[in-house]
Formats: sequence, C-alpha cells, structure tokens
Amino acid sequence: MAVDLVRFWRRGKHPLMVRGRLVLLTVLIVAGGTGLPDMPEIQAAERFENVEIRVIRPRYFNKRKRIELGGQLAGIMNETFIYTFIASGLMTYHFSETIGLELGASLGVNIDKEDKRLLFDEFEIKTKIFRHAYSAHGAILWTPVYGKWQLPGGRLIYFDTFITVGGGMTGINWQYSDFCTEPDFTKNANATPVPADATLSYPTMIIGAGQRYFLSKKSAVRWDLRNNSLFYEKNDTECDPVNGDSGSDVHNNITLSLGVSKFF
Amino acid sequence: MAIFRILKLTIIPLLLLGGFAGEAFSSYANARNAFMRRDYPTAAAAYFNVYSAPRNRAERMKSEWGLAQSLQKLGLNYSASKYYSIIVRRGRKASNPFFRKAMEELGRINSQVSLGQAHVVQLFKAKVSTSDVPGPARGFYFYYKGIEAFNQKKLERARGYFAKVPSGSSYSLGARFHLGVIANLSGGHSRAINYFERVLGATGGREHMREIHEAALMNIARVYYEKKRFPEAINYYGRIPRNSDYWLDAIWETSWAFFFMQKFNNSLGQMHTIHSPFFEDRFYPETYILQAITFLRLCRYGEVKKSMRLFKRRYAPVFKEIKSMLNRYRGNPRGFFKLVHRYRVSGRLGRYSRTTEIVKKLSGTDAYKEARDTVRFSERELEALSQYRGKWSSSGLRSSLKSFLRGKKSTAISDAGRRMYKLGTVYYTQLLELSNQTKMIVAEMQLGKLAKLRSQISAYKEKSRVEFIGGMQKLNIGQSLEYWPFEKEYWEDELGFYVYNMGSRCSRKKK
Repeated sequence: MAVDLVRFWRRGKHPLMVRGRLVLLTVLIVAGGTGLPDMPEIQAAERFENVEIRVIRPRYFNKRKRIELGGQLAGIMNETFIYTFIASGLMTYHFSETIGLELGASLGVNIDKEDKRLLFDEFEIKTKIFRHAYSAHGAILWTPVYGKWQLPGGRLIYFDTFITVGGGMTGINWQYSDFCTEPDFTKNANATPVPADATLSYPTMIIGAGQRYFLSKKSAVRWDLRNNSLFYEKNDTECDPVNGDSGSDVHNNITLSLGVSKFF
Repeated sequence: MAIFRILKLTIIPLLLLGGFAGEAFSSYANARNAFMRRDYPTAAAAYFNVYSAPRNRAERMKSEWGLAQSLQKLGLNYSASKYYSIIVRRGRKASNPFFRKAMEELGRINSQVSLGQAHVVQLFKAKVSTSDVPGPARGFYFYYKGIEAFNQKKLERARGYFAKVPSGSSYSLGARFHLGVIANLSGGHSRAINYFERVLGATGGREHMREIHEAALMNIARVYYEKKRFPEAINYYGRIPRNSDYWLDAIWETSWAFFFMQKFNNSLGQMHTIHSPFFEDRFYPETYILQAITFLRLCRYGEVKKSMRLFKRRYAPVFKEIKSMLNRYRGNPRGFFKLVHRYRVSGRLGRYSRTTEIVKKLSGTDAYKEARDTVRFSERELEALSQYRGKWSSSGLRSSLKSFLRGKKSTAISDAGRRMYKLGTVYYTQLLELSNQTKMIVAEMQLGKLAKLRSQISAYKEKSRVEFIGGMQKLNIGQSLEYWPFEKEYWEDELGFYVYNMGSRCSRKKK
C-alpha cells in the first residue's frame, strides 16, 4: 500500500478544476470483533501520524465487497489506417477498497480511414491491419488513489484512480486483401494463394490506468487508457504462409475508453 | 298654534331618529345580504357601519361577528383577528354569544399566520372556564395558557395546561415539547427524553416540521449531556443535519462533551470547525476559552497563549463597537430592531460592522423572527387594503384597520427591539467576562500556577472507552473511513469532521 499523500492545485485556468485533492486511502476497521485495523490499513493511518489536524470520516464511496457492472465505448488510438470502435462490458468484484478483479468482453467495429484508400490508389501501397473483432480478459485492479474535486459552484466530485494489469484473448480479423496481392498463377502455377480472411485469437497482456468519478453512492462514470499487447504468430500475417516468416511478435493496441458503471 | 309647534318639535326629531334607525336596520340587512351573496367587501363595509352606530347591543354583536367573518373571507386574517379578539377578550357571557366561535377562528388564524405570542397571551387574560372552551379551540387555548404560565416560571401550572392540549390538535407537538422541557427542569430526565422522542416520532421526515424535529434532537442531546451520558448526547447531536440552524450549536456543545470525556483531540477538532472562515461571523467566543483549557490539559502552554491571543485579536475591536452600538440604541428599541433587520436584509451594518457576529445571532432569535413575521403579514394586509378604497374609506373601516395593523406592526417592532437589546447586553457582558477569564488564565500561567489552573479544570469523569471519528460519529466496526489532512485550507465538506492529532506533553509527575 505504498502510495503517498499527494496534493495538487490547479487554480484559475480550467473552470472545472479549481481545487483538487488526492489522498491515499483507506483505513478499514476489520469486522470480527477485534476492532483493530488490519495491517495495510494501519499503514495507511500511520501516514497521517504527523499531520496535526486531520479529517476522519466515513468514506463517501465504498467499493469493498461490491460488484461493479459497467459498459464502455473505446477507440484504438494508435491505428493509422482504420478506426476501431469497441463496445465492452465489464464486471468487477472489489475485494477491498483497493483491490478488485475485473472480467470483461468486447466486440469491435472497424472502419477504413481515407488514408488507407489514398495510399493504395496513389502509391499502390497495401497496409497490414489488425482488425479488432472481439476480446475477453481478466485483470487485477489496484486503486491506490482516492480524491475529490471541488467545482466552482461548490459541488464536490469524488474519484479514484486505478491501475489494471491482466491478460486475455483478442480476436483479430485478418482481411488479407488489405495487404496481399493475389499471385499470378499464369506465371507461377505453384504460387501459394492468398489465405482466406479469418479471425484468429491471440493471447493478450493488458496494462492500463483509469479513473472513476462517482456520481452517487451507486454509480460512476469512468475512463481508462490501456495498452493491449497481442502476441501473434507472424505467419498469420503473411500473404504466403508457406514461405513466410515464422515465430511470434507483439502488436500493441492503445485504447481509450469511456463508460459508466453501477455498483451493487 | 302652540300645540302645532309642540307637535312639530316632538315629531320632527322622532321622525329623524326613526329614519336613522331604519337606515341602520336596513344596513344590517344589507350587510347580511351582501355576505350571503359572498360580496364580502360590501358586507364588511356595511357591517362596519352598523357596528359603529348600532341600534342595540344584539345588532352590535352580530355586526361585529359579521365584520370579522367578512374580513377573514377576504384573506385579511390579521384584520379579522382584531374583531375576533375583541369578542374573546370580553369573555364567556350570555351577552357575548360569539365567544366560542371567535376563539375557534382565532385558533385557525394563528395556525396560518402567527398572531404573536404577546397577542394571544393577552387574549386569554379574562378568566374562562374549561368547559367554555370549544373543542376545536382547546389546543389553541391551553397551549397559550401553558406558554403564559411557563414564561412566568409556574411550571406545574404550565404542565397542567400543556397536558390538556388534545393530541389531535396542531398545538399538541408544541405542547409535548414544552412538557419535555418542564420534565427536564423538574429533574425528570427520562420523562423529558420520552416526550422529546414522541415529538421526534411525529415529526420525522416531515419537512414543514423540521425545526421542531431538530429542536427535539438538540434537547434530547442536552438532557443526556446534563446526565453526563456524553456518548448518547453526541449521538443525538450528530443527527442534526448540516444545513440546520442548530448544527453549529451542536458542534460547539459536543466540544464540551468531548472535553469531559477526555477526548481532547475531538474537542479541539470541533472547535477547529467553528473557527473556520466559513463561520467567522458566528458568535462563539467561549470556544477560545475551551480551546485554551483543552491545551492546558495537554500541557501545551504555547498553544494556550496562542488561543488567548486569538481571542484578544478577534474580540478586542468588537468590544468598543458593541458598547457604542448599545449606547446609541439605549431607549430606542425600534431603531435597534431596524438595525438588526437592515443587517438581515442587506448583510451590512455600516459603522458597526465589527458587531456582525452579535447582530447575526440576534437576527436568529425567536424575538426577531416573530416580529419579522408580524411585520410581513401586517404589511401584506396594509397593501391589500388599498384595493378597498371606495366604501371602506367613506365608512372609516379602512382607516380603522390601517391604524390597527400599523399599531400591531409597531408593537411587534418595539417589543422585539427591546428583547433583542436586552440579549445584546447579555452578549456584551458575556464577552467581558470571557475577556477577564482569558486574562486570568494568562496571569496564572505567568505566575507559574499551572497545577492550580489544571486542577480547576479537571473536574471530569473517567476516560470514555467509546471511540469517535471526526465530528460527532462513533467509530463502527467494519466501517470504511477516509482520512484527509488539514493543510491550512478549509473544505466545506470537511467541516465538522476535524480531529486533532496532539499528544499530551504533561509529565507523569504533573498528572
């Protein structure tokens, strides 16, 4: 539970962010009759040992032992030639205020960008594209920061910041016509035909960070930024799988998601 | 010829008299007809004509009643109350047939627009047998009789009256509340709590009864405090909502409760809230004294001196202005009321700006609020009277009502001004006494009489085992908490949740 107390100020310029406060959280008094805080929470409380005046009060938003169901819309930020929009559903069980287990699944929609067509039309360049078809993942969520903003009107918004680490499978839809040209069988009758379009799954590692802004004691809006590292077979990307490269490689998809979640 | 002259002299006055009597009679009939037609402005004017020059006592009584009814139908409740009050003040007798009905109507009016305590208490000066009080007016009658006795500190008599307020009456909650106060004053703490709990039960979740609900919470807390059951007291104080007028009082009183429980850090935290800039215009001068003696208990002498310095810095400039203000308004209660009212409306005090804390406190008193309501209702009716210029002006009704309403307003202002001025002098004296206490603490500290000082303030019970988090909340097992550091910046949502984190510097020997 090594997060230090952080405070920051943003005065004046951004109308929504006049004052902000972040603090490491969570002091939890354990149930079970001892009345003693458990060790991580003792550590958290100890961070305030040298603070002369403190605010101690019931936590505004409790996640502990609650299920969070959410929906998100995401976009892959680092795809040059297509737009990829991903709709995902998330379910998170929060073991404590700081640790949760997230399960998620998503479906993607891909739309070609104008750049892709121009490259082909003007330079006959074909582009190799990772088309996100679906994914499923599990991740551990660590929420080390809990804070609040005060809006100019005086309204307070509580938020937390989380870090996600996990893994799963991502389905990539290969459309070989994107980057392969059908061989001329009249010249070479033994040429390998371009593979048929297919959707193949690859193990994926996820690392990311995000925030939840609590609208009430039951709901929140959330955003996150994630890097999805796909470990794919190079051969799957070859127009000539027989004579192409073997081995594996990594492709990174960076997604920016925005969504809402409800706590039960 | 002589006979003719005698007849002429006799007959002409008789004819004239008969003519007038006939006119009066026809006016009464006209008034009744107009009332039946629901033409209340005409009815009121006509009734007033008859009332001013009645043919006989019965007609006067009936026109008086009719006039009050017409005015009430027009929504002129205060004006109607004038005539209902005349009827009630005459008391129950055969010649006053509308006594019971008038009392009922006054009770109804009072529950809509407060007539003012002084007005109602005056009403019931005449002795009335209990059986003469009509059912629907029993709550009204006995409640105010109770109030009158309570104000005269005749508690037993007051208790008797309050107990007679029927439970279905709109005055029953007020009566129960007062019964609680009386029970507590008579040493019946549990009975008092029981009464207040009943008020809580009947008012919970009802927005229009919020004030009495919160007052009951405060009183239960105070009863527990008096019984030295501090955790229970704090529990009730903690139920006062943040937006309540009582909230800061609850914070202040829990500072004492924590002090007596030896929860010095909680006590200091509560006072930290009161000293925040959000409440710089609130009058809680004793907080500096309690803060000083709390630091003294922790043997933090530097902080004691600092508290005393802060008291002096904050209140030294106030003394002079309060004194000047009180001198200026001595014998001028109307002027004093206007000063408080002007502050309430505009938030400005002109050359007495440093007395804001005290004037603000005065503007929150019942004396001010009651007078403000009376002024508002009177002015509303005075304005409404301008609609009835024609007949009401010629009959004199308008000027009669105007003079009544102006008189009512003026009496309310003078009375409230007097009561507030008296309170103002109390606050001033209190401030002087506190100032002397600060000097005494500093002097004794300088003389090194610390042990004596500490012994004077050590009369509290054993350390409580109950643990509290910030504010007035008990620590519950399994509860998630959030911690925020205070770094010279006050956040509105953190008010009421501060806890100091200071250890005692007293050596064992000193203890």
